[in-house]
Amino acid sequence: MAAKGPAMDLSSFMDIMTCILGILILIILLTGIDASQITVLVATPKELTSDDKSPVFFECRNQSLFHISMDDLRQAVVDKTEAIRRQVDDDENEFLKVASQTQLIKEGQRMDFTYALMGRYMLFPIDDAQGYRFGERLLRESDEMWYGSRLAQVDPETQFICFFVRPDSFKVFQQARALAWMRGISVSVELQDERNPIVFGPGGDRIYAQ
Amino acid sequence: MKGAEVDTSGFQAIVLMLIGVLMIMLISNVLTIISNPENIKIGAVVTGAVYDESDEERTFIPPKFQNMRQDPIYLDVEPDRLIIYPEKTVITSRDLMFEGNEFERLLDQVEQMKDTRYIVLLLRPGSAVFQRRVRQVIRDRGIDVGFEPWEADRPIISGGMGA
Repeated sequence: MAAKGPAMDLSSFMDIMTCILGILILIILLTGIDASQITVLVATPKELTSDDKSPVFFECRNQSLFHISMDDLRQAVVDKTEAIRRQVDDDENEFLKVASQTQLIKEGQRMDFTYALMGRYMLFPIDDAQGYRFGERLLRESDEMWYGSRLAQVDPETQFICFFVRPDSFKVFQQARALAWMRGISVSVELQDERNPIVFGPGGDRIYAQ
Repeated sequence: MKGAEVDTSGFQAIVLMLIGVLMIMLISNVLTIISNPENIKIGAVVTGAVYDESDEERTFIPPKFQNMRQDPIYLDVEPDRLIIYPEKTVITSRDLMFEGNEFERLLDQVEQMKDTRYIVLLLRPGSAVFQRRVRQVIRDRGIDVGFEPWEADRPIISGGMGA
């Protein structure tokens, strides 16, 4: 038979517990009144003019996405310039004549080569070009997929995504933006008309994340 | 005279459980308060990343915009006119050419309190050219501005009950 230990008087402990209970109820009442008046904040869009992140461009057109890579555009211009120079044997007049008739096709965009030589990249949308569509697999967009792989290359600390949005592609913009947000990437938007060219270069407005 | 002995162990267990529950409630209240300690109120029309209701049912992604301090004034920008919300004051592009128009008066008011107020342009399809003009006027006043593409038939409901 087990030995019975000395009896302990827990009445003081119970008094303390009851006091704590009372104090807690009081604090909860006070904080509850405050908490019930707190508004849940939903963030709203605002340009971050103090932000110095650099943009990565996508265009939303034909309910699909097109990537506009400035590096690829510059490289395409360099390659085309070399090709034309070889073609005309470095004849400057011939070069200008051929350049004025040259247009570059890149990722669903038609680029005016003459403007590009002057540092202005004027991109005209190609009507029947099809970009990337999410369909039903929006949330299954992985790093191996077209858009996911491009998002994976964006550094949220130094870069943001700027979407050029055509009137027929608001939906795909929302989806692409949601995926960017899920990866912590800031986003900005530039509304475009149906057919107007997108122009990069001197004289344009600076774009900020929001 | 010795009183009756009462076994308080059952009572102790109940008190301990109550304290536990109250602590959870307390933590919940404190978290709610510290989420918005100054109890700032801003009117949001975009409450989800994807507007389509069927998409929201599958997954809700809250918007990750950057502003959580200034209260926005919403302007519905159509191809040739502006509508100021919530008053629904209509300003045509022609009106903007006249000095002292409604838009200028609005900008005068916002300019006075630009630390707490700013303007969000809700961009309807076809308004690309007009919105650039409006945006430039707002920027020239040093007022902060934000944008959101807005479908042609989508209503604007401010106050956190929007899309």
